[in-house]
Amino acid sequence: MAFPGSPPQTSGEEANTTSSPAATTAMTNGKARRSLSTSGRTSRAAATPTSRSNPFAKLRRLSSRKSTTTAADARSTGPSSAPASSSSSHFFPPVTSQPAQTGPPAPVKIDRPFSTVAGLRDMPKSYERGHEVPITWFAAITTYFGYAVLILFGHIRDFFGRMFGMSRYLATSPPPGYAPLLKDWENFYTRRLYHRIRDCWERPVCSAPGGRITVVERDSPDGNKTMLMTKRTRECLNLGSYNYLGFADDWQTSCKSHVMPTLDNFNSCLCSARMDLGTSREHVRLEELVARYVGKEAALVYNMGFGTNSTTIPALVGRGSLIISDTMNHSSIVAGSRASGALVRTFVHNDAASLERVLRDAIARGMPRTHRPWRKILVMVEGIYSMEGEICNLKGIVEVVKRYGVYLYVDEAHSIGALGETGRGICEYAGVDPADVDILMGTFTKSFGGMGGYIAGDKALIQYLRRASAGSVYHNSLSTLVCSQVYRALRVIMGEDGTDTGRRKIAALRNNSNHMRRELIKMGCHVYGDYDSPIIPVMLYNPTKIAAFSREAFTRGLAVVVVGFPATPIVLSRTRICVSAGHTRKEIERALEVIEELVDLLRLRYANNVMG
Amino acid sequence: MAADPSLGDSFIDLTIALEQLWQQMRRELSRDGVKEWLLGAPARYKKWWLHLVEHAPGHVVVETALILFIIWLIFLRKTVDPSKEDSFLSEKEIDQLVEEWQPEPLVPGPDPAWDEEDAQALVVEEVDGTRVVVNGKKLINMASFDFLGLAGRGEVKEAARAALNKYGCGSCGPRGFYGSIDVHVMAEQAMAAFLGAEEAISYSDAASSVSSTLPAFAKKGDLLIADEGVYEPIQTAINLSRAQVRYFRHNDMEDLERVLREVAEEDRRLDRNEREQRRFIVVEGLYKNFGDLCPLPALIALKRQYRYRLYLDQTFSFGCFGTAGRGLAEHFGVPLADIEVMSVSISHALGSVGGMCVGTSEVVDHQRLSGAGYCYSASAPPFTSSAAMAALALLEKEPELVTKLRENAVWLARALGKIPGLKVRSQEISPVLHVGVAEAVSNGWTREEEERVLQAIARACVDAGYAVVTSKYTVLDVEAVSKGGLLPEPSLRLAVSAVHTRAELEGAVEAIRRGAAGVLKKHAGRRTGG
Repeated sequence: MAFPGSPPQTSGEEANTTSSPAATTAMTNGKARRSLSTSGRTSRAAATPTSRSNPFAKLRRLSSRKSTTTAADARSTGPSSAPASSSSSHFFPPVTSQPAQTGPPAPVKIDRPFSTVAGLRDMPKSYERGHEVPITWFAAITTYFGYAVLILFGHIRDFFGRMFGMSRYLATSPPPGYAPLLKDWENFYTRRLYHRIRDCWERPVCSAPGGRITVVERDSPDGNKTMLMTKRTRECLNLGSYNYLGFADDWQTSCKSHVMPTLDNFNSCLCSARMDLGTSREHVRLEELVARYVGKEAALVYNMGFGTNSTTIPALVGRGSLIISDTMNHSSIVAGSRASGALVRTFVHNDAASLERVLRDAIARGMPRTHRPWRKILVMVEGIYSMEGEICNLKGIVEVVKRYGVYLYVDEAHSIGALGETGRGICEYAGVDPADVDILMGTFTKSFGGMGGYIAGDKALIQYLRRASAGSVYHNSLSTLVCSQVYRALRVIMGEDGTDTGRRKIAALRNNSNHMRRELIKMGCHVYGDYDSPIIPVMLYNPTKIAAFSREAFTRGLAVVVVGFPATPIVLSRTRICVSAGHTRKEIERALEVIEELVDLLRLRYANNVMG
Repeated sequence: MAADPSLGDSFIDLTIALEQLWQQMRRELSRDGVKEWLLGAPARYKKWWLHLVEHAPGHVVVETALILFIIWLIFLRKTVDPSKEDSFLSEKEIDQLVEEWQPEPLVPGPDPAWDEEDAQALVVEEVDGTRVVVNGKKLINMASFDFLGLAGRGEVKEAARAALNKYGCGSCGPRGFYGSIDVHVMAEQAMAAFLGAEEAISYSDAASSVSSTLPAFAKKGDLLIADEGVYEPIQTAINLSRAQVRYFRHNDMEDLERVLREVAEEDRRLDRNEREQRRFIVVEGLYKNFGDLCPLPALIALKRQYRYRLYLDQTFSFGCFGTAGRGLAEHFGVPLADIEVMSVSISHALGSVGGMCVGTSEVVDHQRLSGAGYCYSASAPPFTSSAAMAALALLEKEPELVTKLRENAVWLARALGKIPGLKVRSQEISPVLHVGVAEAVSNGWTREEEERVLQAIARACVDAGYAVVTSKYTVLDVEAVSKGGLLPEPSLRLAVSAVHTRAELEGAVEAIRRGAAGVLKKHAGRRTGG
């Protein structure tokens, strides 16, 4: 039962869900334990927690375990009023027969991986922190071999292309006296590796990006150099979009009536920067709500999530300051850090102990060469790492940051709306007081079905950023339409629309992603990331499997994202499954069936067998 | 083979010889042989040593010293690695340093002036064509970059509405990963077709489009020659590219040639191969901060002569120049092929949200994997592309909008030029007008003073019913001036639109005239009085 808060007559679709802990353990035990013993042997992850002796590792284990087991019970009573009678969207069971409640609404139950101590004991270590699964030697060798073959054949084709003057890339040779526009490896990679399989990306969609999408099929007249849209379309189950809370599915019912009127009063954009004439009452209203939602004094919204990071960071730190960044941080943070002129150091991904070492070292030495003390030190982490599906160990990091008195910037691009009992993101999930995080950044593209991003912080910080960041002073402001969309989505999530749709969405997302993750781990795949995270990367490794997985999935009506270099390290190609609250349990089961088929076809059970 | 006796004999000889050799080796390398040789070694060494001491004592002294020196070098010398110098710090010392270190505040403390400013901020409540309701007051919009008035057109709004109905609001993903909606692709094709380029690529923000495009091509070791007046997104792009950069004086082609010649001379002097470095000239079509056009024909002649590629940012000029709004290339009659990389905006003249880059397939295709703002950011909501397409169709259908815009711009610039005490700094045909205080009046003023005066004039205009803003720069850019940064002179920044009526423009001029007269008088009084 996915929604115990709803009446007993749940629709047939939801009835077969298995969220009770007993059922979960029973189900996983048979098949899982076997896979466990193998993965235990090969997995570095299983060994590390015991062998590591520093206090932070222990703290981290504790905090992560605690957050996965008890966060649900701690703060389950949201501010939402009594659920209204009609919550009508296709993925929620009808609640019409539910009697109007006067007290706080019954908590929406959330499916958790280890709800009991017994469950914990039976679960293998790699289940707990699946992201530390190392690549098997066989996969590593074959992957390198695969790239070697691809590169060799690429060069052979280049050679013959030049020799016989027949190549679709000949036009790209530069005019005399000019350097080639594109150089070396990057260009070679695009031509000879990416173009072979470019049909796996940028597939155009001609419907709302909900749980089911219609994808336009494409043809290429020239071996994938150019892709042309055809009239053919294909219905797919969508495991690719960041539509975490399913606002793309029920947009017509949940948001439309609140967004369309904005178009009557405003144009779609104000064509002006925030500090000029680009601020509307929609912006003001949204900023107030965002600040209240994330638990900060004030907020500032930007037109683009990428731009939020890349224009805020230079406004905060500059020469003489130090940025300590997680190694897996998003490209927008990297861009912002580079543009700021501050020095950047990294710490081992998600490791508070490593952060402490880097901090001590940095403070003790000061600036390079002059050894003057740093002006400011800013630690940058993300709530959920988008390529790893991993949840930040915020508690441990906050502890270190507080001890050393440095500033903390948390990018909640993927975690806002998706984590925490009421969707308030990583702070709520990790049990951290938002006051302990100096800057909270997030985007509206994912959970809220909009566009752009926000920065939330103290009033003085936001007032300063309004005047100091290029995104506020120079760039055009966020579209008014998007403002009203995000405002409405936030109201729904906060339960201020008078229904419990928001809470149900959050619970459904959690249940769907935990179910999906559990089943994939049971299949014996190498699955990265943590439970409760809606991003579930499954490792493919071999370059050939990238295309094979995407194409085979597509022909079976499954839209999944496959990721390779440059978004990941070159050997760690993966498919990234994004689960949404808009998926019904039936759809998840169907997706799992198809994936299991593909897993057999492509031999992806790396946790069971070194050779997959 | 066996029939040849001589060959057989020589073979036998060889085997015999080998056999003998083997026997001899065995004898010599037998255990006894080795033992004997080892036992004799000290005696032989002693003999050799004594012989040496006897015949060449100098050698012995020098060589002994050398051997001792080598031993000292390898085993006894204390190595001091400057990078590990701090490892001598004890944990306690580090703790103390940590204790002592105090970071600066993250941002300058709260300023009461900010509260006041924020309370006076212009908050738009309604938009209808050139009329806006700001803070409950009806104003004529002289600030938005909606140059052709397309954002408010029924057709554009209808397109946005239809797209919202079909796709919902957000696209929920980056372009690479099922965030490509068919209208994104169609908008790109429409833009490429409109400009006559091979392909176009769309970004979800105009500024990010600019700051992603340039770093996709120019990397460390490449060379950028940029106008010193370029606006912030290009500055950021230059920063991000980490390429070498040289600036030339704003819109000064002679200075540009000087820089180009310098580079060429350096090439000759250092025997550098120009083919190993990607070289771009980076300019804006219409400079946002100055309101003047870049002299494209002269620039292209120089670029051809010195073999540079051209990056042209048409964020503000697209839609405003040329007979059909194709921008600067059309305005000057320059073939598009001469501009290798060109950014255009759909959030200014087209009244939607986002930016695009157009060029050859090679240029565009490369950005689909290397444009940071394209690759690593969610795509724009589909309605923005639909709206942009509708606006583009309108522009194609009504090229007279561009003519109208120019007439308005020229009229306004001339009318403003007649106001005593003010000076129009921008070019006459520019739809972005920069109006400053005339030098004769502002002689001896500080920058801050001038800014305050202009701010007061803008406020007076707002009170009179015209939304006029001053050009603003970030706190950081203003601070940078003292460290040698460049900042355009303070100004009132007006944006004229094709749909402004003559009466509206006349009203705006009147409002500015009155505002300027009042404020300047008051200020002059304060100066002489104080």
